[in-house]
Amino acid sequence: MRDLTDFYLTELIKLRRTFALWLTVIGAAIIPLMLIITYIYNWEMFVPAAGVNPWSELFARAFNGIILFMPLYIILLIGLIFNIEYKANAWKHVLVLPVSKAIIFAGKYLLVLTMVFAFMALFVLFTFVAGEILGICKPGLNFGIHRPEVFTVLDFSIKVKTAVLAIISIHFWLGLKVRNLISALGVGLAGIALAVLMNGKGGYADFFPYAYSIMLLNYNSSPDHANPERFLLVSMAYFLVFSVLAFCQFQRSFKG
Amino acid sequence: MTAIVSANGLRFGYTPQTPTVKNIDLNIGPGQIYGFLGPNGAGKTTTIRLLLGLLPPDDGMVELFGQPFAQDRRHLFSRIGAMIEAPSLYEHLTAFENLEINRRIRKLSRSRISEVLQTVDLSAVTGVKVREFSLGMKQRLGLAVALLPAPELLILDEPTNGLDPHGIIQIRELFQRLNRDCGTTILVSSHILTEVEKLATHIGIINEGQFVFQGTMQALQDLRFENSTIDLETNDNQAAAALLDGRYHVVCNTGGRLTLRLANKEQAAQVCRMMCEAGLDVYRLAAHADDLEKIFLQLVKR
Repeated sequence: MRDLTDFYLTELIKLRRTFALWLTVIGAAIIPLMLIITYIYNWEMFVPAAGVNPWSELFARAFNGIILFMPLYIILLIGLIFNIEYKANAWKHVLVLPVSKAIIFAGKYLLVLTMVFAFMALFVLFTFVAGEILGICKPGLNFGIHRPEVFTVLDFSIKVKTAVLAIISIHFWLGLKVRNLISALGVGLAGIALAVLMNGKGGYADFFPYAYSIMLLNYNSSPDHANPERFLLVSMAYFLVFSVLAFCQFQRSFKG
Repeated sequence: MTAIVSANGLRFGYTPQTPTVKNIDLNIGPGQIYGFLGPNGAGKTTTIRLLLGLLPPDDGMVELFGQPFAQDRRHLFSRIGAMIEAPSLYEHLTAFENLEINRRIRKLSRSRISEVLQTVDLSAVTGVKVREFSLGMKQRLGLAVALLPAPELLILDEPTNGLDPHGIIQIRELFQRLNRDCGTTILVSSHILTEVEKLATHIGIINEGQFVFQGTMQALQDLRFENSTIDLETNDNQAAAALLDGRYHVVCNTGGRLTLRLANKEQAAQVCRMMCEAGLDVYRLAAHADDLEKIFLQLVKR
């Protein structure tokens, strides 16, 4: 366990001053920032009816933005994390360190999952801060009177993270197979484009990993959404299959 | 005594049709400085990658410290410092951060970082990002990473690339000191013979994936005198030629000088003794042995 902790900490050191780190922070702030600008310039449009919680609409708008942005972020993040080793020609060095290959694999995977989690947490935090700023700048929007619906935010966060598990595992596996960042990015962009064309859940889209986060468009925490939907279960299945594939690839034939 | 590095019948090809390494047998004993020589593309780096388990051999086996890799990889690699091809450095990080990554994984004390930075003369730039470093500084930092665990076995692939003559001498002295004071076994590859001959106790010359010479540095030096020549000048060259006739191969007898071909360096002493015993005055006895560079080129047929 100490081996994993030490290796994981060194992975965090490697992220210092990298674009991957800035992408996580700035990427999470973009949508809340755009919402602040939109709300301030057209604030009359967003004045809620009496008794209506303005946080619900703010978060709904933010959620719709993040589900489109998140797959792109994940594809870029994983490509950039692998590129740190490829660019430094460092795999050959990492693989002769006194630590097992399983620890190296787990440390890298854990780093990707942490960054995606941090991205989502920052996004929620920035959206909350955006609401607070709007409450101060435009009191008429009633952000100061109401509070955000914590359950809805948590429920969405868990679902969106489950939905992107499939893309995470596929691109982690791709990162070990393809040295070239552009190729992995190309595959991801093509996937996202196809997902947008599929437009909605049901049918084949339920088995197309790049479509899963988009299926959470116009999310609301109605009872329908209380139970895991089919595409979320399929996403978890993809995650298991591609994680095992990536591990086997890394253990058996990965040369760096 | 158990060999530190041992390889038997090592074969490997990136494609099945073109083997890069063919039947390599290698034994490096404790405390040796093994110079691994060969022209570019001879298979040096591939052999080193095979020795470190970075490539799976098609045939043959490798043992480090008398153990195969599968047995205790973690323990084996804690005893090894390696630099393969160009140093693997994260250029967006500082020298300290690059070493810190290795220190944490190897669970070493923090003081080791300042020690190795001092050893490679980089203490003044510990907080500078590696991307600001010159090629020589990067090479020295790569060496610092390899030296960090105070390894029993140091494997270095062309470690003096990019270093100026002063830097090369410093690094050579460092290796000699490590070998002398700490008993570190060193495998150092190079394509430049003069660089290795001042350092190595043992030499292996590889060409087209197989060894063309393996032995001690002395054995390589002795090759210089095989088929060497001497120029001989005496007070009576005709008498000297008559004396040598039939016993030695006189190549040339002109201009007041005799040129003889020798089979080994002992024959030079025999010729000198023969001249003196015959009462001839020897004015000049000059041996013309091939230099090591020429022998190296002959071995690799360039």
